[in-house]
Amino acid sequence: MHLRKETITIQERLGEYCRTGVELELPGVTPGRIHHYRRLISNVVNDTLHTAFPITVAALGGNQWELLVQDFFADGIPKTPQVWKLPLEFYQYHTGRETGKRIGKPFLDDLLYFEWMEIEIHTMPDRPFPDFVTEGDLFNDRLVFNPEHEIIQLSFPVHTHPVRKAIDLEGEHYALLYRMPESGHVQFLDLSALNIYIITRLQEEKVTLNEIKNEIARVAGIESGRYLDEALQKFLGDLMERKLIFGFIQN
Amino acid sequence: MKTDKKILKSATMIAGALLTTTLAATPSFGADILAYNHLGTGAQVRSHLIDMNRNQVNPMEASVVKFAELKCGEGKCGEGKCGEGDKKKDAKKSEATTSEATTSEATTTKAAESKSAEAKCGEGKCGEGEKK
Repeated sequence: MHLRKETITIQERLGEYCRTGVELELPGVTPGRIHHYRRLISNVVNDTLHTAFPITVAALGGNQWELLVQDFFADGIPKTPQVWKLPLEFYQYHTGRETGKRIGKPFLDDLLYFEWMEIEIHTMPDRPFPDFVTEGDLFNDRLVFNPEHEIIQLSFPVHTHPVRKAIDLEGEHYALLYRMPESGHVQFLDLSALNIYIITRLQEEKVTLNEIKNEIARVAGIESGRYLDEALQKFLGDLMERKLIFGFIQN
Repeated sequence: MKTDKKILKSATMIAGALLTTTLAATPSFGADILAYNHLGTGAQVRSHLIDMNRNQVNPMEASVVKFAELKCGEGKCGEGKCGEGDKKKDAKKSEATTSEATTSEATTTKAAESKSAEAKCGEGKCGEGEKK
């Protein structure tokens, strides 16, 4: 639909007023009523962001959170027409401006990222499920993973600790988020670097568990693989039960 | 956002270091070398982390957070129409799915359960009743 240039200008000015609260002259506006637009739009934005980032709200406290939202709303100029993607823009806006560092909360990027990723995993389009069989040899057959998962790397373990403790544990932390096939619920795993290494190698480099086991045994200088076998069997067997691993590739 | 490739690279380096240090510390692997934590569903993780983080906020701040949880904000819009019907529906849905939640936990869990469901669109809350 083509709009007149004047209409576009009025819409943009109304949008600007709604974001900043600075009153502008707008033709056709009933005096004393325009603030309702700002209030209603603010409610939608506040509600969407608060629902998306409840842990961040709890960690920062209401006052600081409100400032972050106001800052984003006034200066961030949300671009997405999809309200559910607003939290992604909020995360990108504050990461881009290094807000966490500026306000002395270095964990902020991680916390926003972690909370956004749950929405992304829950909402992402279906990924095609590969064919698999449920019977097979864990060590010698290639494994089939649930494709609807993402591994995230965090500098602070905000997924397992309150921020006041996480801030002292800066390092490399990993979480894996995946969507359960039937229910669509997002599940969270807190994994070590070794766990991640095994999972990503099994998937990306298309090797068998036996090859990885031999590699670990060689690096660690283990001659008897008994403990390693048990550890791998327990770890991957558990992931199968939790439906992160579906089964085996059919030979 | 961080890509899986970068993560693999980083994890590979750390895994290598981990193996070396583990070897130095103990000559053989224990069965828990690959132990990990299943944190639960989104609602469980959120509920837990909100509680843990909220405890560190001072009481004044906590009350602000509680106010913010009113979501659509009864009294905020002043019309008393926004999403009232939906709130009741949401509450019923949440109650059905979280039978084990205690009274104090219920508020948190409701907010937690609603994240993925409502955040998907965030629309249709305000004034739906009016449209119909």
